[in-house]
Amino acid sequence: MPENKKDEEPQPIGQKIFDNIWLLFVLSLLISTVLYNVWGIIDLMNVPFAK
Amino acid sequence: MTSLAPTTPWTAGAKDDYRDCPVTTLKVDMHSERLIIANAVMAVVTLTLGGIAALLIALTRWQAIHLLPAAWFYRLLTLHGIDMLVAWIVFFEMAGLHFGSTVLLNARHAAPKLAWTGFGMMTVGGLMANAVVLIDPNSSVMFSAYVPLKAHPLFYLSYILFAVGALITVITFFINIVTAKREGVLKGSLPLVVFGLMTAAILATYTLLEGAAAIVPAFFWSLGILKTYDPGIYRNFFWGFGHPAQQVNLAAMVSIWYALAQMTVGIRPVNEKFSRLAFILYLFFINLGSAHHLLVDPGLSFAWKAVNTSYAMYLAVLGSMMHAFSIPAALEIALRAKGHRKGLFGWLRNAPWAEPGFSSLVLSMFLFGWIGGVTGVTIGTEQINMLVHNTLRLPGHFHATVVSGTTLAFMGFTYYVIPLIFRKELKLKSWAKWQPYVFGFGMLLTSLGMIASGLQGVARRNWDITFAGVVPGTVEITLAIFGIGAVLAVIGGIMYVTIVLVSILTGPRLEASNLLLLTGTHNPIIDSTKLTDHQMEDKQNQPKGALTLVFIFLVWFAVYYFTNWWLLGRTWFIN
Amino acid sequence: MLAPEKNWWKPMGRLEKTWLTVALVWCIFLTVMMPLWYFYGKQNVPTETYRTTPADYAAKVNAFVEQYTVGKDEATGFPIVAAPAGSDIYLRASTWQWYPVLQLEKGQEYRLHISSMDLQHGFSLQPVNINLQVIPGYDYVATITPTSSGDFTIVCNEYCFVGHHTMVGKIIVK
Repeated sequence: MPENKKDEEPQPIGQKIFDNIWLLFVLSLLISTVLYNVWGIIDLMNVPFAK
Repeated sequence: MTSLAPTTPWTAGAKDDYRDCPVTTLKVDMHSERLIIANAVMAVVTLTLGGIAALLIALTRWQAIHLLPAAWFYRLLTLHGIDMLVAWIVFFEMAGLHFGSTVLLNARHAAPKLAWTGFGMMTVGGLMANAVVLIDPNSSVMFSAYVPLKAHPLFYLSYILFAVGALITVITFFINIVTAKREGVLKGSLPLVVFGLMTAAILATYTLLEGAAAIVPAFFWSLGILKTYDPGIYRNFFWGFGHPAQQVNLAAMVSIWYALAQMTVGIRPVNEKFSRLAFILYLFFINLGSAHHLLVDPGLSFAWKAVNTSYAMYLAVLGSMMHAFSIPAALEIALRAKGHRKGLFGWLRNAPWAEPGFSSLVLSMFLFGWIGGVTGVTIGTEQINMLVHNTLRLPGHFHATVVSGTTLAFMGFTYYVIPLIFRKELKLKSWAKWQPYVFGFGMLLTSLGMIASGLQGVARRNWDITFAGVVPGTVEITLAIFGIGAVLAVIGGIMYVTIVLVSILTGPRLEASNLLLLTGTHNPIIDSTKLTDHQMEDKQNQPKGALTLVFIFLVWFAVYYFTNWWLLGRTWFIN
Repeated sequence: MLAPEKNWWKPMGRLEKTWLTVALVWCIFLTVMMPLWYFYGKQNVPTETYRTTPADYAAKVNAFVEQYTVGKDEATGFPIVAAPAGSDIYLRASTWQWYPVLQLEKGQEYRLHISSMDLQHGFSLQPVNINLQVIPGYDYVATITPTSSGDFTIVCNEYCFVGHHTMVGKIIVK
């Protein structure tokens, strides 16, 4: 197995993305907050008053 | 605290020390050792409190016995929820975070003082919650404390203290990783188990911030400073805390699964990209499942409910299904490579079933997936939830996930923490061999009894279902099954706590000399490093058995799922 | 538990790809089921909701009871109220009772309003096993059509403090 050759190859871009803790952190919190919290509270705020 | 192994400073003149683990060759920071021990001890203490409550509650819902009076039932039910869902499991996870960000990276603990502050706050918060619920009759509000039910202000304060303490601990996890990277100790990617724990830590951050958003206003409302608190908004934030807390448990449990598989059988991940992708699907989508608790709430649109309850097209469920194949596949390849190649399941028959880490791994995966996961996705379907909300089917589902799944895996893992971190010999090894089976089987009956009762309409959080009128004899039977299962599970819990206490409180400090507890002197972690790429790709080692298992699982999943749509179709028309 | 190789980004094996594809198809199917049932199914989660206050809602309940009372329930002393098909009918949840006793006709459609005077409650209709959350300040409207007749029990299944298990109501379907 040509170990040396493998080690010299640049990291695949996918691996770099999977290794980026901060990107994953921000996306995780952003998606959850917008789709679940923000949208949900907007729904509640839009409940009309009884006639 | 005397240490047997010689300790060495990380750098000349440094105040902290580490020791070299003789079994794994990993460096163990003495700060980490003490923090893991402290969190593990508090975990077992709160598990015991919650377990006593569990026994008394189950013997009350078992109508034939009906042990406690109503006020005590509701009080202990509140305590059970808090001690199990908040305290036991989070303390254990904090121990895991300290372990994952230092020991597994061969790195030092970069923020011990902060970590101890976090631990202190969690301990004060946890004990205070127990005290308030036991002393104040008005604070029996269940772990969910739904506004406008109002508890004593100290109730909310104890949640806040616990949550802030946990958040501080989560922050030290990230500090450790960043420090390890900066100091050149962590080169390249995190190991898979640490990556999974990191997923848990990120989910935990969202969880705890949501908890603050829900409970801090509730605290001020309980003091009369905040005049009104819309219950719908509370529910949104509370379940933004409550359900993701379970997803933290899921991510931590799956990480422990990979660890146990490597420690007992010596696996190599089949494909790092595959497993990491599954964890990333959790990160992006799994928190949306909070909507499961709000599916039959007024005010929320169909679109919001459908998008959120499905974790955005069930992509987070896909993540679980990926791990469900990946881990058995890795086990199969490793065992086939050892020569166990007979038929489709010869590898499984020759697996180390007597090793507590292996049996707890398999039972945890099976019960979590086949009972917990299948019921969860099904009852989390918007329309089907109408048949399920607040019936006993719900606790039936989550006891299969949190207890049969996460708790059982954590129990199995504890048996290795004792020799490796506490540095005490594991006593009562024959008990440890049987404990996962006793606990697992007990919890299986508990879940099935609850699910069957809920299908007949029995309500959860209800002291006495006979008030609802004539209760069919079948309900008496299913509640009895729940009761018997719970007693068996408590016996399994007593076995666990006894093994832990006897091991850590008796006998001398002893450096671990063997990784496996009962099934050999070989070191599976070292074995896993010897599994070659060729062996992983060898046609004779391919995981056809694991693939068969997951296909059978899918068939079972489909059957359960469609049965529920059929049940829904038979009820009154409603929209 | 140990560090992976430097470049671990590798193509998936045949078995992984197979399972991933099958699992993804199942996930897409699960996703489609909910909107499908929304359009073609007869049992969907109600969404019609109005903001209200306990006082306003109580007034509506009382007006409804006054207009359509047909009798008195022996067990609770509550009025039995029967409104014509298509009407708005009202149910009031409070610690620890469901008021009034509703009387409906099988096969007819009604707009059932549910709200709470005080705490959160759970509307659990047995043995039909339909369950909805009841929240004070929210008037939740469910358009229902009973498909079976008899006496039905309403069990409260949201914990509402120490008398919770005694909170039982009734719906009669003729």
